[in-house]
Amino acid sequence: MRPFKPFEIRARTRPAAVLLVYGVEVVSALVVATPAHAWAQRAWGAHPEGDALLFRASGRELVAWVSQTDTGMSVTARTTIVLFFLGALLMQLPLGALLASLAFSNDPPADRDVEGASGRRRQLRLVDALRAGVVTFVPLIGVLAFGTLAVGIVVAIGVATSSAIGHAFTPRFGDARAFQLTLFVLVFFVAAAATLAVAADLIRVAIARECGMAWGAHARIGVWTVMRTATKSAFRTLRGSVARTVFAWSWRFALGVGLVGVGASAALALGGRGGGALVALVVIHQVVILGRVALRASWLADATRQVARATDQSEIQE
Amino acid sequence: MWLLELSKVLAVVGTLGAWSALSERDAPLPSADGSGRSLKNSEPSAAREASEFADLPMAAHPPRVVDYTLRATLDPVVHTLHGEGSITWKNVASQPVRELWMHLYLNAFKNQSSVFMRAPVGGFRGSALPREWGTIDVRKLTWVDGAARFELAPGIQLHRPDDLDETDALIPLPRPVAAGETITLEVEWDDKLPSIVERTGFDGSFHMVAQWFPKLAKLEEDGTFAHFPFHHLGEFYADYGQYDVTLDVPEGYVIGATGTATETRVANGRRIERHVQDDVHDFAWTAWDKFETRRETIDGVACTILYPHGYESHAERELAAIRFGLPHFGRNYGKYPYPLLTIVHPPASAPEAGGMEYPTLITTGGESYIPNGFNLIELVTLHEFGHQYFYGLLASHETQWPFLDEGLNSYAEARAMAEWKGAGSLVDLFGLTIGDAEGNAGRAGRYVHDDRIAQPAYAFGSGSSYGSLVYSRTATLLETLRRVYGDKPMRRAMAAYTRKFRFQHPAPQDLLDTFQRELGHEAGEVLRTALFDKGWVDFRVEAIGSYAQREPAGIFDREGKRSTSAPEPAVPGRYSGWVLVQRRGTLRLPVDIELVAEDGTKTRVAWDGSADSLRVPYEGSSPLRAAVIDPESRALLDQNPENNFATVAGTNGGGAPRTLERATYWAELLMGVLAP
Repeated sequence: MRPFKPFEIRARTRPAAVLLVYGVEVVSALVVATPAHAWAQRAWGAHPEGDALLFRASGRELVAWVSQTDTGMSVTARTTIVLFFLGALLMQLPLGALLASLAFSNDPPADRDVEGASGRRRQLRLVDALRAGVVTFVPLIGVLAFGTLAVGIVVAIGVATSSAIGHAFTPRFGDARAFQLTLFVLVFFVAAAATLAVAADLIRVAIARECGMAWGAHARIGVWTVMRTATKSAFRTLRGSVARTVFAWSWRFALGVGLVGVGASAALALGGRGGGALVALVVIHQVVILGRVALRASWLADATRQVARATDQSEIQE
Repeated sequence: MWLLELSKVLAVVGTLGAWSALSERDAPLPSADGSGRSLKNSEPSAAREASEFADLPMAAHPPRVVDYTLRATLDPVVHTLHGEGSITWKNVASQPVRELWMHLYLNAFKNQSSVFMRAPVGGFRGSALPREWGTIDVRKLTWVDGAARFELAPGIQLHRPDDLDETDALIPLPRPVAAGETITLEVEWDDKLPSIVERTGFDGSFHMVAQWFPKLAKLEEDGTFAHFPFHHLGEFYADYGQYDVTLDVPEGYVIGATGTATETRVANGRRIERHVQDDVHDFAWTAWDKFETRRETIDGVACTILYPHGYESHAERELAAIRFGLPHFGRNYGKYPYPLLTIVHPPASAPEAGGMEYPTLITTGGESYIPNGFNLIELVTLHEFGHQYFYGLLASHETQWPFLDEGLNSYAEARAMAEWKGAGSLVDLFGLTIGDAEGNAGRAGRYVHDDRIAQPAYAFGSGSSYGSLVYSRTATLLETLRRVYGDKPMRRAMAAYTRKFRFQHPAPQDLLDTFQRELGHEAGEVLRTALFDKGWVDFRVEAIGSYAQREPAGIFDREGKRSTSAPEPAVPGRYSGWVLVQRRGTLRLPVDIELVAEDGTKTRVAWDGSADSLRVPYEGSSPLRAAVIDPESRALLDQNPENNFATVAGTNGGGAPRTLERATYWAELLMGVLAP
């Protein structure tokens, strides 16, 4: 495997990897949805209208369904959570494959390798990408775990701090205005958490590079070493261009939110109908998901470029 | 109130808030009269309403039994209140009385030996210990009997020998009070308001002053007093009369109180307001130095809303509810007879002061961030306003028969919300619509086998059982009667009850008699069984079958000759089938049974629900595919709607593809967010 030059890293030239991520996500989501679907099927599937009942105005069947006192809801909820957790872990495989596809090519070293040259590079073979995904699996899970923990801690601190500030100002401003102040303060902590999430992505990208480099050199590298090195690399990248990096993430995030809005509008319009309307909704929703996956791949490509540049600059300086 | 239960439902609803669905906005709510008309904003004309119930007489005033002329001085720093005044009371029974009973409700918060504090019932409001205890101490009680003055205070028996509760005081009299005689008592007392645990007390400088004065227990016609200790789940019961109360608070405080302010003055740093109201059986008031005020005349009633800073949008939502509620309740249950209405939205730090009703004054509540679409603000406002009827004008015994006010009012509230907001009367957010009545139905079945609906508040096993049965199940029962027996007859039944018993103290038999007369014997029996006998019903499709018609095969003796017929091929286009439906439980309700053929043809069969089961035959040109009991969800009391349908073996129902699609989509989105 040979690392791409920064200018060669483009998500749009890696459609197979993007589709791989999307495909695994769809399958994982279907598995996660199975308990709820099974519960609904068991409860309402025999009705001539099926689960269209759950979408009726006034919600008689929906309320009856979620209000029932047997163990259906708790079993479904717990099973769903477990499956979601497993699915989240599983997603690190295609993620690693995507990251490797963005960063590496199967081309052998070439003599002509000039910045700006338009020579086409071969995409990483799918098998190599999957192998890369296996190699990076454990470190990526580590990032997922620590990253989620860090974001959670920041948000928790934010909630506690903003609540305390709101509570302190309640006698002076009244509880409605104090609540607005609470939200205002919380926004800063959410922004900090978002920055941490950006840093986590940079670490993921750096992990893919480190593992790929080691693999290409037929060297072995420990998990903690990879994570430590990748973290340094990520923060070096972030130090060099915080605003640019955060902006690159932000506009894609905003676009993703817009796509979700489109999906919600489609659901509102097509909602509880079956037949062609349901098929159309499936298509629209999956286009939304694919679009979000593509946006994420685009962001990861940008992140890979930045990490590559920062690494190259660091090596030059050394 | 049942806000705790409602908040649980909304928590579940909140998780479904992303379940975007098309609300069938133009689809009408089921109406048993088959008109199919949409009930959203369907306001009959005033003229038609006026003539509809013109034959139902309605009292203009109640018999006046007890008048209170009181003066109260509040010290908001130490949260004490000094009261004095006079009570004029008439023995309206047919025999003399030798004692009086007096409610001293604030002593419920005096210590943990009170009935209120030691009642082992959680799951309802007011389960916390007060940070500061509360008391009411009667300093003086003098019977002014002509030239004589009898000091009654020394003889007050605050509690029974075996019980330290001091909310139910016995006052022996030096001589009997004859039937029809009126006596005058001078009274002086001191309150120490508790920190708000349930309804009354203080929170900072906010004071909600309810059940604050020595209140005479109601004298029944047989000469007995309806006296009772203040139970955690119980509420109140008293005679009608006039309240003339002068309130003395610091100058910067805003007062909201029962009755019209007939005098207002500021002197020596104090604000003094005199409030007078006839034809009521309680008096409550609030005082806070941080109220904002808005006034509006609605349907001829001077409405004032008091609310905290920053709650302007909530104030507008609550006034909007009153703009709808005043004429709506007036048309259905008789015109609101008082000249004013005060709505109090307490601060968020005092939620237990909210969700309550007093004559001409209601308290609402709700956090500042409740969005439009979660109609909790409007629902609570209409519910508490509805209590002006079910408790205020129909002054039933709230402790003995809590369903008579809470249950009927919950039904009235749900009807009002449905007519105002349509299918999404409880929630109308992102395409998810949930009706108030349907929300009640979801909570109605949980405790049906544990407690009766019609029983005293203190007899319920838990606060959850109380809330579910008294509020939700009663409301669902009445809504079921409406859907099954017709909207018009039900409206008339409610109108007859509310008009006939206005300014009286109705009992359950009064309700039963009215409904039996207006809706018929069957409906009356359903009502009685559901209220008194834990009545329940569960319709169920037990079995279903379908087969092609054939000429019968076998050995036949025809015209003296025996012959054997072999099985014939199926007759083309001719199918038979059957459905076995069951009615489990003790309630007999008529329902429709819908037979669905494979070609989509639907046939309805009416079942009177009297038998335990019914075998419904089918014949048609297409095989029978499925059967559905009560396709329009009229029998909301049905314990389990999930067994109301079945498909023939080998055929498929509609499945659950929408659930699969939604759940998959949301799982994908969450994975993208939480596990990128």
